[in-house]
Formats: sequence, structure tokens, C-alpha cells
Amino acid sequence: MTDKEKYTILMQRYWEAETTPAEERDLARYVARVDDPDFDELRGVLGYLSVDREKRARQARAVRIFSFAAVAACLVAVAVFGLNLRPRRAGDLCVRYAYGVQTTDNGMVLSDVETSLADFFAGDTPAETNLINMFQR
Amino acid sequence: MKKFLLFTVALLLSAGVAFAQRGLSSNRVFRGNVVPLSDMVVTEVRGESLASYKLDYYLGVSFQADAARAAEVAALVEADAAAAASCETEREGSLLTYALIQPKPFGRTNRYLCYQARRDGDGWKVTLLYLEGAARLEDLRSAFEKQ
Repeated sequence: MTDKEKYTILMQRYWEAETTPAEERDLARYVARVDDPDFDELRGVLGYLSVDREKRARQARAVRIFSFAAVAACLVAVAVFGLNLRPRRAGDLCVRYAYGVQTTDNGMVLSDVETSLADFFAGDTPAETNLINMFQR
Repeated sequence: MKKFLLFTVALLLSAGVAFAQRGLSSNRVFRGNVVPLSDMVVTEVRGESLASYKLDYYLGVSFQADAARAAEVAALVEADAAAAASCETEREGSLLTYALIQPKPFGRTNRYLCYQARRDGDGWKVTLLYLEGAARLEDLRSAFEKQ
């Protein structure tokens, strides 16, 4: 059996949609190689399909790249906004325990902290305050 | 259940303070060895909330004390003052009533021990703070400078 006979049979099977993908690739390679008018119709169909397949592959690649870019952008956004918006770091602590009652209200605790720090760092030591009070009387 | 939670919180606080001001005699006060933790107001802050003061860590206790207890606390603070890099102190009679102590820093981390005892009825109201951070004394003073 000659190549032409073999591929003619394969072409018949192709038209009947009975070929496997491997056989179709083999057939495509053959019709691309020979310049036989008996295979013109098949060559046209396979050419069209191959162009279409390439186009679809390009589109799929573009969609895939866009999807990766979108996911990456989302991750970056979550990381940036998440880091900025989170109220406290994992190691952060803000608690007051007063005679058996726990408070974790940041505003309340930090207000106490500020008052206590101001007592020591606002400028006047107790002796200075006493002197000021004495002369103000 | 409530008691268990309170106990757990007290335990966590005492565990936290156990490490904070290691090497200081006043650590005994922060750990509740002089006045029980349940008789004090304990405030502990760590992290970004203190960034505006250039501090990383704040631990404060305040409590009412009779003269003997106040003297015990004052003695511990005086021991830290004696070993400190610098300190300012004031007394009322023999009792230390004010101290701003800078213990030796940990590397680049400055440390401060602030103590105050004010008369409160028959006893004293004692406040003791331990601070850690990059803040220098001038930074803290300028942050709280009276307008």
C-alpha cells in the first residue's frame, strides 16, 4: 500500500470523524508535505482549523496571563491594604487589669497611658509643682 | 469560670511583666510580689500604639499602700536608682516620693523607671511605670511639654 493510499483511507476516516488525534496530526503532516490536489479540500480544512486553534490558544494564553495578573494584583492589594488597615500587629498588646476587671478598649487604655506619662514628663517634678502652687497662692 | 478567666489574665500579666524589666529590683512590684496583682491597676501596652512616643513597651502599676508597703516599694526603687545610668529623685521626709530613673539601656533600647508616691488619705497612692523604646528623655519631655 502506497503512502497516498494509506492517507486516502485515513482521510476517509477523518471525514467520518473516526480518526484519533495522533492520526489527525499524522494526516496534517502528510498533506502539508505533498502537493496532491486530491488532498486540497482536506488541506484547506486542516489549515483553517490549525489557524483557528492557534488563535484560540493565543486568546487562552492572554486570558491566562490576565487572570494571573488579576490574582497578583488582588494579592498585592490585600497585602497592602490589609497591612495598613489592620488595627494592630500580631505582637501588639493593649490591656488594663484593674482590681479584677480587664479592659482592652484601646482608647481608654491609651488615655490612661498618656495621663500617666504626662505626670512624669510634662515638665514639672512634684517639687517644682509644689513651688509653683506655693507662689500661686 | 469568671474566676478562672481572671486568674488566667493575672497569670498572663505576671508572665508578661516577669520578662519586661528583668534585672530591676522593682520587678517584684510589677510581678505582684509586693502588692497582689488583684489589688493593683496594671496597664500593659506594646506595639504601634506607642509609636508616637517612640516607645515600644509600657508597663504601669498603681495601687494604694500603707506607709510600710510604700516604704518597701520605695526601697526597691532606690535600689534601681543606685544602679541606674541616671536618675532624678525627690523625698518627703525619709520616703522616696518621686524618681525618674534610666536603667542601663538594652543595646539601643532606652529604659525608664518612673516612680511616684502621693499622699492619699492615711496612706499613699503609688504609681510605677516601666518604659522601653528608642525615646530619649528629651523626646519624652518634648512630647508632653505643657502648651
